[in-house]
Amino acid sequence: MTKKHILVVEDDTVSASLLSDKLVSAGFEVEVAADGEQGLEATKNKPDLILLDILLPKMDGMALMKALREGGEWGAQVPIIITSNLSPDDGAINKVATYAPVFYLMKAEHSLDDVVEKTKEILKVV
Amino acid sequence: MKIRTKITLLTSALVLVSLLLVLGQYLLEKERTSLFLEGIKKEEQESFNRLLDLSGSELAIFASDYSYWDDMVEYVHNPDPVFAKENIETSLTTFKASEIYVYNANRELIYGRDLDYLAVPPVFGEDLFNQLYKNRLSHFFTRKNDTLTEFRVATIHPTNDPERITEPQGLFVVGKRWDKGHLSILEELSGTTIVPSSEKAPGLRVVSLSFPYEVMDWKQEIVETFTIISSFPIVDVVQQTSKRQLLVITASSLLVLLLVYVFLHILVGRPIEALSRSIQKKDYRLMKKMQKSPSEFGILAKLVLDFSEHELVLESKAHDEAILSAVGSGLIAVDKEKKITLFNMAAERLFGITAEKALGLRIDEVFQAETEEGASLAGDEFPLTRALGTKKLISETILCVRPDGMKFSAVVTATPIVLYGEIIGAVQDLRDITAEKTLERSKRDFISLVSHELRTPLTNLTWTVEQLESAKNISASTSIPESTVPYMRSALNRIRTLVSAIVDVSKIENGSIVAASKVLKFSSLLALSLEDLKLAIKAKNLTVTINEETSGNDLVKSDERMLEIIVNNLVSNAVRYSNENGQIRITTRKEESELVVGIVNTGPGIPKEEQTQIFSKMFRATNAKLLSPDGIGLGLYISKSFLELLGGSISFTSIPDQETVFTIRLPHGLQSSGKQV
Repeated sequence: MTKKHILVVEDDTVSASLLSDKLVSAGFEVEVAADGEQGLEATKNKPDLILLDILLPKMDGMALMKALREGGEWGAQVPIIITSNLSPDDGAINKVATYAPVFYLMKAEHSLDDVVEKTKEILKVV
Repeated sequence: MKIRTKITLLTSALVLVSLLLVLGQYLLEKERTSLFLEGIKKEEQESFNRLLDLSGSELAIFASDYSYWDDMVEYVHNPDPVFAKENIETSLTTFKASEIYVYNANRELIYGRDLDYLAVPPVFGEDLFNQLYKNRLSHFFTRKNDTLTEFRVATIHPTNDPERITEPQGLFVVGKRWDKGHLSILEELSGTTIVPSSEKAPGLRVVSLSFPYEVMDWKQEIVETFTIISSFPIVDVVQQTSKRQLLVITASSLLVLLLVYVFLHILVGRPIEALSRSIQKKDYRLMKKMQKSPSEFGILAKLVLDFSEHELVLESKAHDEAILSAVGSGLIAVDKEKKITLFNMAAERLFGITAEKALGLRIDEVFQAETEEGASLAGDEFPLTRALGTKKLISETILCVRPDGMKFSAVVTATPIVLYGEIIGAVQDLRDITAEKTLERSKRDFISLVSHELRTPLTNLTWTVEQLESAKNISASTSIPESTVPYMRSALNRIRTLVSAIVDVSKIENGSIVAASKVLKFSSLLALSLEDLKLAIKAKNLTVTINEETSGNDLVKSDERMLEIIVNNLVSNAVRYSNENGQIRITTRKEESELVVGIVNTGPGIPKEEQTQIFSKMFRATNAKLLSPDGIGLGLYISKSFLELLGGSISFTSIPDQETVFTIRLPHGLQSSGKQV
């Protein structure tokens, strides 16, 4: 069974490392992008799922998601988990539902295990 | 002087003058009458005397004619009763004498009788006889008891001696009694009233004059004084008539004056007085009554009312305008045609257009409006125009677009102006709530940013701890990943820095921060700061150069913690906003009493249009957000506030995509008179 490919778009290096290490140890293949532009570039590798932060340098998560969803068939349906510490009622993310399929995880309220579980659930990996 | 007093005085004066004129006329008339009477008094007297002479002449003739007559001489000597009866007695009635006596030369009475045959001859004494003989002809009065008798006495002589030269042969005495009958004859003849002294003069009601008439005895002594009264009924009638005329003139002129007085007083004076009193007291009830009158006073009252109402309206309008222009919120009123009739000072300020320009325009010609959601409103969707149409009070929040394109949020309360149940316009109160909205938004942003900023290191800590726990669970011997401790330190540092920054900001804002004053070596602080940022500098591969031009004298007098925060903020900003492989240059030099520190970095810089806001609280340049989305925009705000407290200053120059220089000036540590806080 080929490993599922996860793209982590996260500018905070500590968070990125922790996420990446956890996902790798859970059996995923992980690519990390430190800003929006890098993230968009990395989608060319067509990951199976994207963990996307919102506040990102150069291009924010919402813009990246919009570009993906409007950019083609693959981009329109690739599952995305928003991993941000913005409150769900924050203006920057209140249009997130427009870009389904999308899931929202507030990092501070979920453990790394939660993230892995959610990822597995979406990708139907047992 | 009041009009009614004037009227009273004027009419009183007129009454007085007319009374004086009448009195003068009356006195003049009286004077004329008395002069007239004086003029005719002598005449009357003379005519009365002539009358008496005339009435007495008959008797005088009788006495003188019968006394020089030979037959009489004969009779005296030889008294013949036949002669007496035929000649003397008949004469008694012929000459209307009362009594006749004849004496002889021996003074003996030889004939004597009166009309009543009751004659008692008068007793003539010797003296009287002598006098009578001597006089030849005598005329005198005697009084015996109440009877007054006029006597005509003549001495008797022969016919050929009419001059009575010869010796008198006797005395012929004729008497006439002045009894009531005689007096009434005299009265009738003279047209007078003759009043004897024994009687009281009657009170006369007509104009008359009176004079005394005296009768004497033979010794020329007064025996009786009559009062002779002449009446002048014609004069009296004339006088009475003129008196009546005067009376009528007086009465009618008084009546006319009274009428004039009443007319002026009641019909002119009183209304004027009432009018002026009510004007004075500003009591308009009377005027309201008066204005219904069709007279000039009605017109006057109406005029005063109109004028005072106009005055009141003007007064209250001026009052209202002053209040309206002074109120802080924008007030705009429109008339039925939606044309602006009021545009106060606050409205001028809000819309950037003068009242002069706005008045008379339609409201949608002055500004455009949008809903809070941004949908633009048509002219008749404005709250003010809706209030005009729907007669309801409307209160809502709209977005106003000024003529210059600027927008602001405003709470608008519009209400119709109703007069006598009809809408004559509408007025709206407009309050700019941009500041409130900004404040609300900035509060929301602050909370959102702070919570995000805190959550990030918390996440890292949580996740690190989670990793540690899972590692331990798997096997006690599993080594802890190398990166764990720096992760935790970095997360804790971020939390600490953020909490400090928030505390500092709140202290700055309520003025409770106190700066210590201590001599510090700037290069040591700088070194500590660079040490902290070593990892980040390395990650970006930055080149840091330090140029010290202070010959080692880089002491500053400052607060250690505050200065540390300032240096950290500036150096970490330089690191954060540098491009990879960029350069950071830090220079220190002494300038007079200050240490001047320059922190230069290469990078995108601060966009020109945002440079003025760079020290504002929670402001982050757009490119900074793009480059580093984390951060809440407090660093430069805190640095500037601290520097001001420390007696220093901060400035910057930034050329986008080239380099940015932040310069701080600090009081030098060796300056004893250096600024201290």
